[in-house]
Amino acid sequence: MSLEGIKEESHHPILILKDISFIITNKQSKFEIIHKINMEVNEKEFIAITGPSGCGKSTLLRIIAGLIKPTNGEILLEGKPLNGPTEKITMVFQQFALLPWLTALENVELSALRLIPDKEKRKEKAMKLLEIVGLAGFEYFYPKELSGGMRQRVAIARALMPDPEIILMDEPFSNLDQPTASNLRYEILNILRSSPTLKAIIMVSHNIEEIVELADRVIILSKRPAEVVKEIYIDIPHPRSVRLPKFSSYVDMIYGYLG
Amino acid sequence: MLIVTLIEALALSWLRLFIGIVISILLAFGLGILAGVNRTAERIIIPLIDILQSIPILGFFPVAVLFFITFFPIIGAEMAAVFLIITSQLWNLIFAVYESVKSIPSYILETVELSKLSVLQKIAKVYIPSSWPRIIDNLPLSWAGGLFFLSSSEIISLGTTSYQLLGIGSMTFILFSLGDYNDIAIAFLLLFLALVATHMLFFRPLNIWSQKFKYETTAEATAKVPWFISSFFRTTKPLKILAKHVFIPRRPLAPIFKKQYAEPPYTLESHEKDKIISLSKLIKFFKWIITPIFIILILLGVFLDLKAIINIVNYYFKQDMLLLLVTSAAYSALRIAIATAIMLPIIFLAILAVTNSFTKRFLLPIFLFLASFPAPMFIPYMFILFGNNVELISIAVIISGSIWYIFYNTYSSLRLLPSDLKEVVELSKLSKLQKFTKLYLPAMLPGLVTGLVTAIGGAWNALIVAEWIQIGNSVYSVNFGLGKILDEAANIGDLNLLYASLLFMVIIVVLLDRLFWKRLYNYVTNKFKYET
Repeated sequence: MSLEGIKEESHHPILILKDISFIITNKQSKFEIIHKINMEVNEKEFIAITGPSGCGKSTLLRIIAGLIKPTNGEILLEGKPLNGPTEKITMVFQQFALLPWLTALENVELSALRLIPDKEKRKEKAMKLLEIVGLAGFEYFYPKELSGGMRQRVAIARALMPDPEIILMDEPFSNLDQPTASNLRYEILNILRSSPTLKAIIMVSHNIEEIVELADRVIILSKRPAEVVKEIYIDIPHPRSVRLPKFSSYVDMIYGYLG
Repeated sequence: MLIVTLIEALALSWLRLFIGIVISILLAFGLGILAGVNRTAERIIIPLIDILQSIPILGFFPVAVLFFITFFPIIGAEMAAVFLIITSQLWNLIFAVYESVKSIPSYILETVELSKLSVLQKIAKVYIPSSWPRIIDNLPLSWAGGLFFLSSSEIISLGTTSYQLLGIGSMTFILFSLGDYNDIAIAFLLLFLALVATHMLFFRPLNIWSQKFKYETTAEATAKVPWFISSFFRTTKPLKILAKHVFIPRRPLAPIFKKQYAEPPYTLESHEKDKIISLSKLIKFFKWIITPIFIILILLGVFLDLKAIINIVNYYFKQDMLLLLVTSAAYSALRIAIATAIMLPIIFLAILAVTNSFTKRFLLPIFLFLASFPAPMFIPYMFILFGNNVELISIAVIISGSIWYIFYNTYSSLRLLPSDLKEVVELSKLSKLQKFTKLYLPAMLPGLVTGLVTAIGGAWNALIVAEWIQIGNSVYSVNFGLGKILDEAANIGDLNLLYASLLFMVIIVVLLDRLFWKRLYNYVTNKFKYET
């Protein structure tokens, strides 16, 4: 049985990365961080990106987010070139990235301050999202008064606020303790899957078990400059148990490519 | 009733300081945020403020007075006074905002970018809230800065024109010239009470309020005064070598403090960098020194006119003027050096403040309070203490104005010392001296250097208050000193001499800063930084 079986290509790619390169020029010399990465993200897909530390996976994620301009190449979102940040792509950070002086509710509202100018509508929607992520009753708490897991839930509600098509996650669980992280993982998967507008999730992680647990496909990058070493489809029905032999085969295989 | 007049004077002074601080905060938000988000603005604003904060603004004062009084005859003197107060409150606030904006965690900035906020929303939701903690931290310092020049701003004299505004600063000197020590004591007591009240009712509550604007992950910054770090300065060899061999023991704490280069992840290795010193960099280097001087000249040119600048340049070659200025500067430098040597042992108090809970709980608040007490207000009492020995008084004024910078910065540097390091040193049973040389000295160096830079920068400024003292109709003055020349020039209304000596002082301060302090600062902060 081959674990690397290719899924049928009936899906229509929603995000396309074409020859993405990123080079830092420093007066005298050049550093290539990312070398010609090509990638397609299909509808309803959960993609994980992994690679050796410092390989540029977070940089790649920021290029997709529109925060960093690639040196070469282009990104197409639903066929249209992407220039800079858009409400259609939001992000969840390792450090939660909540503003300490805003309440949970105001933090969620932040990402739609311009998109939904009507205060009442915005508040209503943010309240609903907080309820979806399981934080009903915590709307007026400040981030400092919430636990790590709760903070990340606020961040997820904020990422959902503008009705994005793609959510990017940069090591979203690595700042949480193990039990909190594993509780949150599947819940998040369900929350995100139930969003009517969300079409794909791209997560950067170095936790291989987490990747095999969540992702439909994992993209393994090489050391700097980052190139795609291998793409692996993870073909296990959800919920995936760590105890399945198939699970550990996938884990071992990914470790193998990471070298 | 004297007491009523004094209370009125105090209220007026406090009002001036308050208006000054409000305007300063507004300006600081504008300039600090601009410098924090825009590279071009940063390159202009930061070096300029770096210079402006270390030159005697008081020297520009006569022109400002003329300006305000000409254009606003009724409230011109008040405006001039507030203007002078602002020039002593503003700079650290701009740096506070700039540093805050610069140290907003990248993920917060990215979130804001992705949320597509408008510029105004970014300012209101992110930049201003992020700046509050440092602004509030700096308020007592700014208040003290304003108080320092309160007397000078309330007693304005330029040649034959002179104004006296009712205020606690002017009252202290008037009372002293009248010679009634009981009245002086009452004034002093009132000032004391007003300061206590300001701390308790204004700064403390604000400080508690500002806690909510702190990012949890951000460590407190060591430096009150950041320096615009140009990569070039790290590559110029001579002073680096000098610093290595003369000033700093070589890696005294190598096993505990790992050497760390404060470089972004994708830059050249430092040895590669050393090779790349080219002619263009040399030109750049001189630009760094000459540009600020040029800016000052242009400022003078705007205030005065081109002819005046030619006059100033001529002045240097007239009547042994240059010799006089050099001699005076040497005397002033010596005074500052003596003052520095006397105040340096304050660092041991800073160590006590982090190791000894009694010192921390009881002495620290007193120090913080004393730091905000205006040194010039002590001058009349110094006469009682030192008789008419102006040399001693001037050194005492310099110390009373600068010592707290050293204490504050050393203390805040030591406060960052991780407790596990302290525990390691406790467990290894070192002697007191070993603890000092192995742990506390290296740990305090970044703060100590910052403190010295600020203290000595402030001292050049304080010379104007310290070297030439006018009480009533009597003048007490040292024989030689740059501050004395400046004051005398202002007093007789000789603008050419005033600006010639001002420019001379600016050049000295800029050269010291660029050639010595900045490098020492970069060296020390790079070397004695914790790995995060």
